[in-house]
Amino acid sequence: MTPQNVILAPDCGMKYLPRGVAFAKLAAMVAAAERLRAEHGGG
Amino acid sequence: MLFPTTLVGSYPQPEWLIDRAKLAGRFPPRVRARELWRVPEPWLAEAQDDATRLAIRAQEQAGLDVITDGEVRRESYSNRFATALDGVDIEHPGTALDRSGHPNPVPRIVGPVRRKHPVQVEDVRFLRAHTDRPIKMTVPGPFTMSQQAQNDYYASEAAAALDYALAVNAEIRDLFAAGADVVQVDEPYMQARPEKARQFGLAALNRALEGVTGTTAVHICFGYAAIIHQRPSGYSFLPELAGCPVRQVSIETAQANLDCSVLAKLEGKQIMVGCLDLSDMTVETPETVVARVERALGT
Repeated sequence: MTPQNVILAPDCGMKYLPRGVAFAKLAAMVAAAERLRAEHGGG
Repeated sequence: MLFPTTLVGSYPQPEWLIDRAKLAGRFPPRVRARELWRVPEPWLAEAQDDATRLAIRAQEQAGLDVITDGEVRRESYSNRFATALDGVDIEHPGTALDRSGHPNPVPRIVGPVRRKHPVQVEDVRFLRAHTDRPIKMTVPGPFTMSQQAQNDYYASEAAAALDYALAVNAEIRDLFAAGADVVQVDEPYMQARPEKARQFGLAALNRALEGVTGTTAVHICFGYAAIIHQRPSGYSFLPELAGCPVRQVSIETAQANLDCSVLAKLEGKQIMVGCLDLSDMTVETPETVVARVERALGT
């Protein structure tokens, strides 16, 4: 699989999570995406 | 842009809108579950709109690139669409086994399944009007809906699934026309019932996508972590999706410890890599998320 074909998402719907946990997990995912872009030259 | 981020579909609904404990303490509704809503009927739609604004704003604040409406107006991912169709009786429900093996009240198919009118088009218009970012709308898949129904009309489940597919096809076309950038078809039961998925589920999904030119996705999974506790380490149904005309395949990898070599069989597809473990309330560090994505990349 190439970086061009990767989208980041949670495992499934976040319906059952506490809102604060859901938001914090999404923020971590966005931070991870930024690092991945820097690493793979897609910044 | 590389590595765009998005929800699979739903975002937590506010406690003031829906009784979250009651929602979590039962199987996902397949017929209606109006008693879950805390806001009485004359004001419910307005409250759902306002809560949808909050879900959109939360996604923007978190920094997501593709925004959904959080499925805030839905009791479950599938019942808003599945209960709006002609040919199903939801006042006198049938019974079907949930993926956990437990019986759950479901729409009873009593005549030809037809879409009476667009179901989620207004949801797309609302979402389009409230964010400038690309938007995604989810719709339940025909195979999954055929498994969440009691068939008292068709000669076979396959025939029922094909009519569900026609209804979904009409809906997908309307969702794109209303401004959706991505339409995602949710087919979690393809993982739960792989033999039937091979027999007729994939054909139904393909029929639902026929003639559709926009960017489509399909989501399959092991079930909500909060409800389905047994997590296998591999998918029973995944390489088969190589033969499906979707652009994107959404799978969970964070909590599954999935053998990622299977992803090579989906060459040419974009993969929505599930990288947040929803069975664990601990918030991942960015490093952990990066490591999960790298594992999926095979690097």
